[in-house]
Amino acid sequence: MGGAAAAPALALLHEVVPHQGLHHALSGGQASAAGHPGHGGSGGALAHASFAGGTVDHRANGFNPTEILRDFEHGRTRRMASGRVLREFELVAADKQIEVAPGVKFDAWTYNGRVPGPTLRCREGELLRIRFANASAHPHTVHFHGIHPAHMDGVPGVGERTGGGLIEPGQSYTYEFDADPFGLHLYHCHVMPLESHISKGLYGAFVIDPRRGRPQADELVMVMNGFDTNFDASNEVYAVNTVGFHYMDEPVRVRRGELVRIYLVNTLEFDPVNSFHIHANFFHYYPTGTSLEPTELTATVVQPQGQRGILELRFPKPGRYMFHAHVSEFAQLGWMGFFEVLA
Amino acid sequence: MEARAGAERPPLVARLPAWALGLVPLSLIAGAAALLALLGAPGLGDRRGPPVEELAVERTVLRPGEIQLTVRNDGPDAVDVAQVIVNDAFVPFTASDGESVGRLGATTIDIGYPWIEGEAYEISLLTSTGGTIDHEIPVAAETPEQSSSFFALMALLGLYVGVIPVALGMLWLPFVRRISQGWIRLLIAFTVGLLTVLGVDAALEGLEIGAAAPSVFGGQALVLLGALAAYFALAGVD
Repeated sequence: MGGAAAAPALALLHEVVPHQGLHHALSGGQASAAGHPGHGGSGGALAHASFAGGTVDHRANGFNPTEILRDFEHGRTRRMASGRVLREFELVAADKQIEVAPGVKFDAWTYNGRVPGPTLRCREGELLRIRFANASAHPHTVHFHGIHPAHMDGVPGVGERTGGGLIEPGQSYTYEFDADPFGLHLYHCHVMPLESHISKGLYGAFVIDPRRGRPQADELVMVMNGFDTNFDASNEVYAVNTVGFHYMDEPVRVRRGELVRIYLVNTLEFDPVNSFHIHANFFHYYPTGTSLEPTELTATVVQPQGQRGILELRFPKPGRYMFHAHVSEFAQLGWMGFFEVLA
Repeated sequence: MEARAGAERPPLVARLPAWALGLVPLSLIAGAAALLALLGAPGLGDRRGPPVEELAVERTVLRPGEIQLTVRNDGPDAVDVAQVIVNDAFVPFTASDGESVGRLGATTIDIGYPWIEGEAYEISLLTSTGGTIDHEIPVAAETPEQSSSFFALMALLGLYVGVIPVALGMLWLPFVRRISQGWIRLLIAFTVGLLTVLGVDAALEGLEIGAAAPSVFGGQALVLLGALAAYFALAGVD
């Protein structure tokens, strides 16, 4: 497909074609249904990558991808007698219908009513307790990527003797383990059929900060995901934080010169790899975030299923800069957005 | 005694007028229907499970920068076309009679798309429930405008293939009158074979086109009944 395969050309076109949705975003409001000049257009090229028919109903969804970007769940903490910090989280699995593209409803399985689930954030060395309650009609678990004992792994068939393993509807379980190692991880349901339990929305980012923290930055969470709305084992909609093309209509607003840190997680199913590409800029990449030294300075990074990494960059000039999967198919099907760099 | 009385007085059924006898099954049917309605038609109406979404693409038109699909709902439930995907990309579109298509309703979906002549396109209509209705354009080419000159050209083509060969064939009549019976049999056999091939070919193509039409119209049955009706009409005229 000629028009949208060349993403840079799209960006240029976008500069030329006025985009009403942006004005809404800059004035702090929501992009409205009227903000789609591309709707019904014809001619030599697709002027703007977007959906027909306005935006999704974020209020009905119960979450907004713009808010998910900077929404970190720190849980409740208290210091134990040993002096060590105990951090407690709560996760509830529930079935919920969400809108993943304007007018397209998807029967999702969620943690805490949102997709992706809350970004759990803690510090290296803390003791974590995650109370999981299953309010869904199906059995689920929470499986964390990290280092922990076998019965805390959230895998059916392991840990049932201590009340863990498969958590049936109406049941609950408390996972307890050390925050180790520091870095960017993820959690997801680990019930068979695995592909189905993950792709329906049971996943989230899991950040373990290093003991001494990381440099001050504007921190963003981007969970790359997709939705197989017709159950043909391939995705119809691709996105970052669930709603396709969301950041086309509401660009991610950052400040010029400020350090931006992106926690990038790939939870996509059905497609073996996903990728992140930024226009007119480069970023330092920290694979899995487990080292404080970046491994490369690049503009594109590829992540297979379940992989993640931390990106750090600064935007030297104001303006609108596109970011998208450099798998053009995913970009055309929703995984595409803008940074709006404010002076 | 009783037998005689029976013979004098004919049974009740025989004494009723013919129209009343005809009315009995009708009133029974009406009663059964009323009972069904009174009980809320158990087992009918309310279907369980997700909606059945069926759209048939009746017509595809390609103009420069534009793909137009006329779709008809031949399923039992309304279908909402929420998004349109062309070759793995969401595209802008408008629907002439709304994105929501009721049972047997139709709408024309107008897609702005820079299609290229000779290339293939896979169009997916993504419905509100996330289902997809796929339509393939194997080789893209501009649809001819349907002006009077277009129809004149088609009429001319009809003359070429339908009338002129038959007229030319008639010119063989003087020749056929002079040849022997053996040769005539050969020619007749050849002609019958040719017509059989044409008949089978036309029937197969008719069934194929009939199958492409929305199923509610019973396209294939229409082809067979049409052929039968044509045969009777011709036989009647003859």
